[in-house]
Amino acid sequence: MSQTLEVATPQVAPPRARNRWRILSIVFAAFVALSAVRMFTGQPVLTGSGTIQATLAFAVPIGLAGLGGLWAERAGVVNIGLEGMMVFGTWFGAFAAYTTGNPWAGLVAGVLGGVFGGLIHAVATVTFGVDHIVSGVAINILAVGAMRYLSILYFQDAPGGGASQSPPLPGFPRVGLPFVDSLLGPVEERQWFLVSDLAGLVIGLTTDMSVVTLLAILLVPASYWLLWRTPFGLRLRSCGENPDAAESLGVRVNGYKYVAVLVSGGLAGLGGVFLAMVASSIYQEGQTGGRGYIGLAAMIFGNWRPGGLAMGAGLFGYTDALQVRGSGGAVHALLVLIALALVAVAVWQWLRGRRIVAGVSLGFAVVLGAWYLLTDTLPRELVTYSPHIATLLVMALATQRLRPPAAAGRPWRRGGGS
Amino acid sequence: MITSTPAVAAAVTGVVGVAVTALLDLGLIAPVALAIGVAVAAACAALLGPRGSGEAASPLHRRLVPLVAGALAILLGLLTAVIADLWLIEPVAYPLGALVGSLLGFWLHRRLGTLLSLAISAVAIAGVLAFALTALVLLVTGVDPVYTFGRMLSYGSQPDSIVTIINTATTYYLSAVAVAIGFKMKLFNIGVDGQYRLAALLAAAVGGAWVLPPGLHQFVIILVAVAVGGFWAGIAGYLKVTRGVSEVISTIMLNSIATGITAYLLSTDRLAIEIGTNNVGTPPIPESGWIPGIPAGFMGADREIFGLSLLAVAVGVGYWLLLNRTRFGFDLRATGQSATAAQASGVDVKKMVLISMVISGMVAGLVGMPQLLGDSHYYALDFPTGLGFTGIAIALLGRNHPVGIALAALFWGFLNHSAQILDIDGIPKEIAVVTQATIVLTVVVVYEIVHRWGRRYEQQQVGKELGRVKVATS
Repeated sequence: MSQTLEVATPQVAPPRARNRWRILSIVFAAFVALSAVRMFTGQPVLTGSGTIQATLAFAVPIGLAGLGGLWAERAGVVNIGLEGMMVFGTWFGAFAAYTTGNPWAGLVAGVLGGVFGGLIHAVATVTFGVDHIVSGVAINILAVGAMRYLSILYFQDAPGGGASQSPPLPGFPRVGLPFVDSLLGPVEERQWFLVSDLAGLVIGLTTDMSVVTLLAILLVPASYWLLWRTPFGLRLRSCGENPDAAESLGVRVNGYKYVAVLVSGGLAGLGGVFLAMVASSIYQEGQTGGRGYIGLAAMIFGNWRPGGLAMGAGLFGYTDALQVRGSGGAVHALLVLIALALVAVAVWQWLRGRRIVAGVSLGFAVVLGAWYLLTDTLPRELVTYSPHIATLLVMALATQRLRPPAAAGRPWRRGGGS
Repeated sequence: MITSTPAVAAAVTGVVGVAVTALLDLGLIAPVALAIGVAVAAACAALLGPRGSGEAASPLHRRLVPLVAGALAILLGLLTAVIADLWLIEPVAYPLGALVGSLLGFWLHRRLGTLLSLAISAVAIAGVLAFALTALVLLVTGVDPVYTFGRMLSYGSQPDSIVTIINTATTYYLSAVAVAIGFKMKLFNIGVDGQYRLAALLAAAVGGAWVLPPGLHQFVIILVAVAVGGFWAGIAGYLKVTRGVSEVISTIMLNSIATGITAYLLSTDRLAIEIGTNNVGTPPIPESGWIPGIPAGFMGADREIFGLSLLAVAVGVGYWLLLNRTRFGFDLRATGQSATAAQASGVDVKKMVLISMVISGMVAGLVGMPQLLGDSHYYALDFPTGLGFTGIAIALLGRNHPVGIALAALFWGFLNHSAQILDIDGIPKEIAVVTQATIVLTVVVVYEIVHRWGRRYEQQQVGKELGRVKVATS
C-alpha cells in the first residue's frame, strides 16, 4: 500500500563478474584497514577471536530474520511481521524445550511457531488480499500479547519462570575444530599486522560454535542455491517480479507465495529459537528487541540478495559485538576507520571529477578524526542504534542503486492480468 | 405517509420509541425494553418517508441500511442510557436513551450510504468473530468466557473506569488520527511512536525549564511538541521525496533512533533530574503550564477527564474538515486513490507526500500532550510507550473515519482498562491484547471480503439493469 514514487533508477546493472571482484576487494581492503586501525589505536578487541564469535552470535538472528524477509519478498509478499514471527519462535521453542527437556524439540517447535505466524500472514495477504504491511503490523501486535498470555499460564508457576520469562532451558551442543585454537592462538596474541588479525578471524570462525549457528550460516548458501539455481526458485522469484506473467506460464502463483511466506516465518522462528536458547538460556519477553526490523534492514542493505544480506547482518552484528565486548572504547576506534573510508571516498570522487562530493567527504572525515582525538569514548546510546543510522544512510545514499523485486508488496489476485 | 415532512416523521419515530420503551419498562428489564423500543422506532423510520441519498434505488441499500441503522441505533441508545443512568433515575434514563436511539436511528436511516453500511457490518462481523476466537482461547486454556466477559463489562462500566477509558482513548485517538492522515495518502507512518516520544520529551524539557504566564506556557509546550513531531516525520517524508526511500523502513529506523536519542537525553548529565527512586525525568513543568482536568463528578467519578480531550475532539473535526472540505484534502484523497491520475490532473504528488507526512507528524507530536500536561507533568522513564503502534491498529479498526476512529479508540481503551480487573481473579489480563489483535486482523480480512462481495453484487445489479434496458429497447 506504499505510495510509489519515481526516482531515477539506472537501467543497466554492472556486469556480475566485475561486481563480485569489486565487492571482494572492498571487503579485503576494509579488513586490512581494520587491522591497521587496531595497530594504531591499540584495541585488540577490534579483530579478536572473541569479537568474531560475538559477531556471529549477534548476526545470526538478524541474518535469519533477513533471510525470512528475502524469501517472502522474492515471492512478492512484504513481511513486516517478522518481528512477531520471531516472538512466536522464542516462546514456542522455549515451551517445547522446557517441557520435553530436549533442545531439538524446542528447535522444531520454534520453527513451527514461526510457520504459524507465516500462515496467518499468508492467509491474510495471499488468500484475502489484505495489505501486506497492515497484516504484518497486526501479527506483531498479536504475537506480543498472545505470548505474554501463554507465559502467564504456563511459565508463571514453573520454578525459575515468571510472567515474562521461562525457566532455564537446555542448550544445544557446540562444535568446532579442536586443533585450530592451539595452533593459531599464539599467533593471534603476537599482534602482528594482518597476520594476527587473520588468525583471530579463523579461530573465531572455527572454534566453539553452536550447532544452530552453523545451521544458520549454511542456510544462506542453501537459500541462494534454492532461489537462484533451481527451477523452483526461478518460479518463486517470478511471482515476485511479475505474477501475471508467471501465471500465464502456468506457475501456481498463490501456491508459491504460500510456500515462500511459510518458509519466511519458519526462518524467523529459527531466529527466535536462537535468541532464546543459544544467545541466552531462557525465554524473556521483548527478547527479540526489534531484530525482525533490523533483519529487514539487512536485507535491503544487501539489495535483496543472500550474500549482501549476510554482509549486512555481519556488519550490524559486528557493531553490537564491539559494543558489548569493547565497552565504548573499541567503537570509538571505529571512528578512525570511518574517517579513513571517507578519505578514500574523497580521493575516489576527486579522481572522478566530483569535486563537491569529495570536499564534503573530506570535511566529514576531518570532523570524525577530530571527534576521535578529542574524546575517549562514544555515548552508549549512539552506538546501540548505529545499525539504524547506518541503514538510514545507506537507504538515503544508495536507494537508486537498490533493486527490490518489482511486485513486492502489491496485493495480487488470480486472473487479474487478463 | 410518504408525503410527511422529515420533521414530523422524526417526531413520530421519537415518540414511538420512547412510548414503547416506557411501556415495556413496566414489565421487562430496562435494557431489553429499550432495545425493543428502539427497534420498533427504527422500523417506523424505515416505513416513513423517502431516504435522503440518491443511491436508495439499489436493492442492497434497501436491505442493508435499515438493518445497520437499527442495530447502531439500539447500541447507541443503550450506551446513552447506561451513561445517563449514572446520575439520573432509571425510569428517566432509559426513555431518554430510547429517544436518542430512535432519533439517531431515523437520521442514520436517511443518511447512511451503502458503502458505509457495508463497512459497519464488516466491523460488526469481525467483532463477533474476534470475540468468538477470544472465547475459544479462554475455553482452551480453561477459563470461563462468560464469567470473564461479564467481569470486564461490569468493571468497565463503573464511573471511574469510564473516565480512565475516555482519558486513554484521547491519547489513542490523536495517535490514530496521525496514522490515518498518512493512510489516506497510502503512506505508512509507522514512526508515530518515535515522533510522539521525542516530541513529548523535548516539550517537557522546554516546559520545565521556563516559567511563562499561563496560556502562553501551554501554547509554547504544545508548539514545541508539534514542531518536533513534524520535523521527525518530515525526515522520512524528505527522504522519500528526494531519495525514494520507502517510508515504512525509514520510519521504523527513525523510531529506534528516537529511542536512542531519548535514552541519551534522559540522563541526569543532560536533561533529566532524579524523580523518585529508580526513575529519572525532566524537571516538572510549573503549574502555569498545566491544563486542568474536567471534573467528572456529575457521573459519580472521582477522577477528572483530561482537559486536552477537547483538543482531540478539535483534531477530529479538523481532520474531517481538512479531508472533506478543502482542496488540499481532495488532492490528498485523490493521490491516495491513484497517484498517477492525481499527477495527471495537476497535483504535485511529491509535495503532497512531504506535506502530509509533516502534518501526520505534527498530530503525532500531540499524542503525549494530554498525559504530560494533564497528569504526569514531566517526561520520565515510565512515560507510556508503544502508543504509535496502538494508533495504527485503531486507525485500521476505525477505517480512517474520524467517528470510526473515535469509537475504535474508546473500544480499545475499554478493553485495556476493563481487563485490569481480571488479574484479581487470576486470569491473565493479556487476553484483551489477544482480542485487540484478532479484531484488527479479522476487520481487515472481513472488510476486504465484504468489499469484494459488495462490488460484485453491484456489478450484477448493473448488469441486470442493462439487460432489462436492452430487452426493452430491442
